[in-house]
Amino acid sequence: MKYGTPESIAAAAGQVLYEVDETAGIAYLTLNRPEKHNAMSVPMRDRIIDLMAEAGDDARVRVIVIRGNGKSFCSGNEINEQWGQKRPHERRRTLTVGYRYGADMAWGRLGFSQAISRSPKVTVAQLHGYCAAAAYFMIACKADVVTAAEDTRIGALEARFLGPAGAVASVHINRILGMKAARRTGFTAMPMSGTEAHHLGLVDTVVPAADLAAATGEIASAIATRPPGHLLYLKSRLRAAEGVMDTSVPSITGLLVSHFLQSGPDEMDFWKTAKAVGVGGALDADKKRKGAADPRTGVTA
Amino acid sequence: MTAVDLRTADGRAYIEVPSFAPLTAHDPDFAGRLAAAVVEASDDDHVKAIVLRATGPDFAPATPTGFPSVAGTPTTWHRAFAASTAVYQATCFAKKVVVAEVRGACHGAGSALLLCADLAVASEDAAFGSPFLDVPESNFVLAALTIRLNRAKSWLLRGQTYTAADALRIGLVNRVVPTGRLRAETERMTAAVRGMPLDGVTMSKMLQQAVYDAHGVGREFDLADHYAIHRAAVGSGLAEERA
Repeated sequence: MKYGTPESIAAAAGQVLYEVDETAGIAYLTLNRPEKHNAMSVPMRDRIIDLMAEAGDDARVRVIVIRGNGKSFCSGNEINEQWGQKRPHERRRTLTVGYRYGADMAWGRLGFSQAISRSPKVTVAQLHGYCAAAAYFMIACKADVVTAAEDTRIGALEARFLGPAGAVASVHINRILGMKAARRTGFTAMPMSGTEAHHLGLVDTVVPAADLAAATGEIASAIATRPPGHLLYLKSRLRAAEGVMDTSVPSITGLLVSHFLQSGPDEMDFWKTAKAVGVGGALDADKKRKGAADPRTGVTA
Repeated sequence: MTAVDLRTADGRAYIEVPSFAPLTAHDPDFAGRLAAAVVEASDDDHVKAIVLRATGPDFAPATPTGFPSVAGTPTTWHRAFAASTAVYQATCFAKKVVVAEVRGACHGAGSALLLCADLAVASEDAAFGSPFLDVPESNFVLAALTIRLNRAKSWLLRGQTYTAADALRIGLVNRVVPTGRLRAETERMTAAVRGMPLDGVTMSKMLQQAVYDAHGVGREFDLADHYAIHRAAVGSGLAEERA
């Protein structure tokens, strides 16, 4: 069963673009919803899963570059969707709803992030602007090689209102950043700059924004010129080793927990506010909360 | 036959070879004698630190892999390179502190051996190539634990060579010094190890094995045969070769 409205399903083809540079052996998967910082709807994620499979099967493709059009790489999942929330007959968010959300999106071994982490082809994520929430832990932290503009804002910025568990408890993020940095991103929602993410080990190459596409192209081309059999061998041993380390499957617990959050008496109830004034209004209200990290503020280099 | 020299002095064992390149070439005789030297030093109650040293200009210069056939992988190759008694696991699970002293080029098996060592000292001219293509018995989990997951992935897929400064920045080595001071730095570091109680060193190494196993190091070693058969099958890696 495909989730989404007829409109969002129809729009997905234009919101995730795909092209193959046959000569270079590189497939480009480009998020193209710039008016929403490339927030991913369910149909967009379904399309990414399909395109990752297509690139995986295409013998011409050796490297897959994932990038975004507009001001940002991607702000995460589109949270202004009924899917993942309660259905009409459900009086409150239940374990079933949370499980469905977690299983469809991340776990289930059929999920979105496995489409990236278990691709037989080399994956490169090219980050700029915001790289937040699901874009951070399901794309950037799942790609094989990450490039970033120096001033990229990376992190579990959704932890401001959804809680930090997913970002803090995931084995792969702890392996990539180290435990203190993983906890900082989760427990404070403070973004990392591209430069800081390079120092911590998430980002392989960091450059000024103007040079990002060229730097990414250079890296992708160099990888694509390696003998195809060697790339298949290296990717398969990488997938086996990640299986051994348990770093290819994100934690479902964080996603589940986020569905049972109860606001404290003096806290803003994000979902209640969203119901009243829409998700955009709730995000604006959230930014005004005293003491909360503002993702728009400057990041440490 | 490449010499493998073992001598002990002042609580240290020095295992000296012209270079460790024969390991990349998959010379089973060399691998066997190197493993035996590590075990002998490890069993010596007068030894607390084991130094792996190349007497030539390079720790492990690039060399053809001399990789076995698919059929040969589970037999001779396994015994010499992937068995629990073989050189990498003997080094990784040694009872004493293993120190790699790296100068010049460190490619292929040199980097695989470095990952198995506890400590590493390098000269400023050292350069570290990825071991994962031509040394299927190299342990990716050790790399991920040492330099973090994404750096290890990039090293494996891009196949780049890290300079000594890069290696220090990402945590692949503990110290980088001018070439003329390399041996002195090794002496300084091993003197600190020598100052510890023997049982303390041995027990810590045993406890470290449990940590390794929890993280998947042993399971990754177990996959070496699987990797080796696949690596032998892809040969030069060019599709036309298979056609």
